[in-house]
Amino acid sequence: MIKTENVVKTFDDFTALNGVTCQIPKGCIYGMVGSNGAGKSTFLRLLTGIYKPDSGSIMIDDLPIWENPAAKEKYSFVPDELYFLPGTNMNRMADFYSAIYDRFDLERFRYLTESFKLNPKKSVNTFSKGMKRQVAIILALSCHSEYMFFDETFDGLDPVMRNLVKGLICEDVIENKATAIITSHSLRELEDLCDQLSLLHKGGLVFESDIANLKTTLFKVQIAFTHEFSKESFNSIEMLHFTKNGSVANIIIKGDKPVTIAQLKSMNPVLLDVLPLTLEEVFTYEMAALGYSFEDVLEGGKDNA
Amino acid sequence: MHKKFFNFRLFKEGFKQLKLFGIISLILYLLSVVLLFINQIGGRNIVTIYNCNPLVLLSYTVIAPLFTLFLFNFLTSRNSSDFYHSVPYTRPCIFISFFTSIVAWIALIHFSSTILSVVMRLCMPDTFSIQWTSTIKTSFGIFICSIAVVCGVLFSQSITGTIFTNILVTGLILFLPRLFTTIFISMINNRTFGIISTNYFSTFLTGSKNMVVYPIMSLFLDSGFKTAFESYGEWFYTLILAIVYFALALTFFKKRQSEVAGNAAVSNTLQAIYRIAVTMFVCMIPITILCDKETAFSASDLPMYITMYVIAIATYFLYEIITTRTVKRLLKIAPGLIIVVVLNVVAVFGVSTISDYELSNIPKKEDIESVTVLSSEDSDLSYIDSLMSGLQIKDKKIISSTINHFEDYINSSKKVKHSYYTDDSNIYSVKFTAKNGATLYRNIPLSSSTVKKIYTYASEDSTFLKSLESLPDYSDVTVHISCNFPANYTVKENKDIYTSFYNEYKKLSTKQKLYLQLNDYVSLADISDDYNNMSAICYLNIYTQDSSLYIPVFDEFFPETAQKCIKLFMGSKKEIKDNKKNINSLENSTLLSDGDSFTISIWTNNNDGNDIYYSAERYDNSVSVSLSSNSVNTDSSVNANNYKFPSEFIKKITSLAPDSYEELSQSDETGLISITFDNSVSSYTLYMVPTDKVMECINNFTKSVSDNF
Repeated sequence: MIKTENVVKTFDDFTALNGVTCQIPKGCIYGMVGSNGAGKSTFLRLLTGIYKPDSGSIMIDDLPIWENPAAKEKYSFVPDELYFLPGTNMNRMADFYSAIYDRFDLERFRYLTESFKLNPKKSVNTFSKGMKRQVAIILALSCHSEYMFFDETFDGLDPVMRNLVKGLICEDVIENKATAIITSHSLRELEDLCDQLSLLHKGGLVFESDIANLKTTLFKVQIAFTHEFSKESFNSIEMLHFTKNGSVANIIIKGDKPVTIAQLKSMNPVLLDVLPLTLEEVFTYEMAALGYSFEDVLEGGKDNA
Repeated sequence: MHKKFFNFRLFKEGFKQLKLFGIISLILYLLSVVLLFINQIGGRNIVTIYNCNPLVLLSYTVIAPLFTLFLFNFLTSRNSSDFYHSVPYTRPCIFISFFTSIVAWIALIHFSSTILSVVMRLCMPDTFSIQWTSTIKTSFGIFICSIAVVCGVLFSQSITGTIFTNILVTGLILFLPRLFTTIFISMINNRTFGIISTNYFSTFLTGSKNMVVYPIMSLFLDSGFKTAFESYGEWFYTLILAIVYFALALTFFKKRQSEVAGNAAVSNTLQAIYRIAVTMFVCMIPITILCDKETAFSASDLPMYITMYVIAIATYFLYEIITTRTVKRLLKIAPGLIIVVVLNVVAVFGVSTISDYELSNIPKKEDIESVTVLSSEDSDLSYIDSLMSGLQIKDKKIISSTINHFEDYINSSKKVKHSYYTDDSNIYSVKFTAKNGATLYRNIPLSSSTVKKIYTYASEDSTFLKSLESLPDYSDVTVHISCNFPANYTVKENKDIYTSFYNEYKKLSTKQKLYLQLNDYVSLADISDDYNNMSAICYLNIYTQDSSLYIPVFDEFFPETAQKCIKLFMGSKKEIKDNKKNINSLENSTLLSDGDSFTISIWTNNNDGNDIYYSAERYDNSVSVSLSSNSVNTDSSVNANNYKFPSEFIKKITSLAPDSYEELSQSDETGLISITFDNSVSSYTLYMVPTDKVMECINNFTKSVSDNF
């Protein structure tokens, strides 16, 4: 498990992270979304011991990460800005990784290289941006790490490769009980992959939840009555949002779905439709309930999806 | 543990990353060693590191900084810095493992090439004599130097974040402290009229112990590359320096944050220090001018000072712009100029205060126990100087006159600079030892009468005379046999002659030894006029590690050595006869091609210096003849058909030449002359004594050539 407590990181006058506290359980795929400059990359660099927090603590399996080879041995990291040795090819990089990581699996590296249809003898410099990212992912996955950190990893990958990479990450999580922490500025990118999602905004973790739980406890209802009704008619129900057009009201409800539906049915509506919410809608309403505007927090999220 | 301080796999990885540079360097080193060896075959060579491994100095000037900058270049960009900070090793482990990779490559390149060069020469002992001590010590000295440079560069890389600042700050770390110290010492020396002897300053201040900087700085400041790699003192100093750099580099590397990659410096404070250091470097010019008493401040100089300080201010801001590639912080850094101003004021007043104190520091006669004359500062240390430096002169008259000279010099210099210098005095480095044990080193112009007293005192001192008893062993010296003509000798012959000389020297009387050792000071010390008519067969230049000795081989003092020298130059009886025969055969020879020439080089042994060079060249059906003998210099062209080789001269001179070296050594004349005949195909040399007949024959020949052309 990864635990962070009140992590603060500043760069000169700019506070990149301001008291972030979170827990990432083992064996899950943890997604972190946030707009550009929200602090996602800084957070990952802190989790991987690249940066030292100004204050607060970061532990991986109860081991402090800073300057601790035992803790650092547990993860592999694919950053947003990739690093390869100058003038290198994939074989040399594999050689390099095997010198650094005890658990680097050369067989898996060869298998993955073949799966991605990359030429391991060709200079990495001649590869496209997406191919370079594939190389970094292959190297990271070949390390058999307990924790894998991916920073904006799907950027530059075509849909086929995205699915392949997502599949491989899931495979590692299921088969090896690995934990993956993935950041993205696109919510939709992570929607179908993560077990847990968090939202980072202006250096703070504004929202964190289990996706399955989010989708089952938040739902949309279209309801109409023969008589006049208002928002106050539903005071016994936890509503995140209420709008009424004519005689039909749209309500976003948070709570146990069967119990709430039964409660609504008992009010004898002429129309009662229960509609599923997209993850983006869930986020929008949850954020609104916390006093944030989702559009502000995740600007460009829709465009990039 | 294996990931905390050192990791072999990481070391191997660092070694691998340097493979390309390493192999190229290794090939270049080995190639240069082999090519030089091939080139030297056929000659006779005394081998030192420099003439067997020509690229050896590149180990610390190029290889060490280049390899370090390359391997630790990951600190200059964000992605690479992040990568290395994320790997499962502690920072000290990465640092130490990579550091050892660099050192391993340097050791491999440096020592393998040196070993190869020595081994190749060991196979040819007659051609090469290896100066083992010097070669091994210099090789290790340069290696230590390379480690110091690696540590210096690492220190710089740990506190900067771009390649440009890496290089710039490396320069600041390695050279600036030494440069500032040198300039300050020079300013103080200038204001004190040069009275402060270099011995006065601790070796830390003079910088001669710093093997990294001293040879390079001497190249620019002393007009010559001075090597300082052989002494243990220098090794120790440079090693300490390397350890300090290493410790600082490691500390900063450990504290370094990955996010500073790509920044000019790791913190604003350090950036300010670099900026001020560079600015102060520029400020040294006006400070130096200002501190020079000869150019005391005047209103007319004001524009010059303003210009220089404007340049310094521009440098201050330019440094910021160039290293940070932004102008945003210019206003913010402007207050830092106050520190520059303060430092300038401190420098000027500091130099002035120290100088005034030194000028007033004149020892009192009654307080002084002894004086020691260490050396004449005008030349390199001679052997006699090194012996004299151990002599404590307690004679009250000498002490008194030395202090008088010192006082007079300061007083007159205060009125008019350098006014005290006369033909009658030379500057000597003198050590005063007070009764309480305190010492003071000063450069003092001593008159010839005082020097005479000093050498006379020395010639009567038993300790000094004892030090004259013997010469250094052959293994501790390098010997050159010097004559007034070019001479070849094998290493074995060189050793044989020195051994004979060494043994004969031991048998000489004290008076004779004094005469030989003090030959430059004979007239001063009144040692003897008995030997003034002697003429040397040749001279021995004997170089010890820190001094040199130039001794004439007089037949009267060194009969066996003189015989050996004559025999060496002349060869055996049969060889002499064959030689004469070959020279006679030259009269029928012709020039085969346009570029060929007949050359006769005559090296005489008289003091007039009238060595003669006669050359006849065929070119475009004509022959040009040149003759140089003092003022005679004829150059004209004649028709090739009319040209005749000087056969008459050849016949005559060969008939006058001795048939054996015994005949030559029995002559009353001393000294040798040599005449070399060359027809572009063969070259033969005659060695002769300069008898009247021989000199007449040479003079007639030169006259005939002059008359004809």
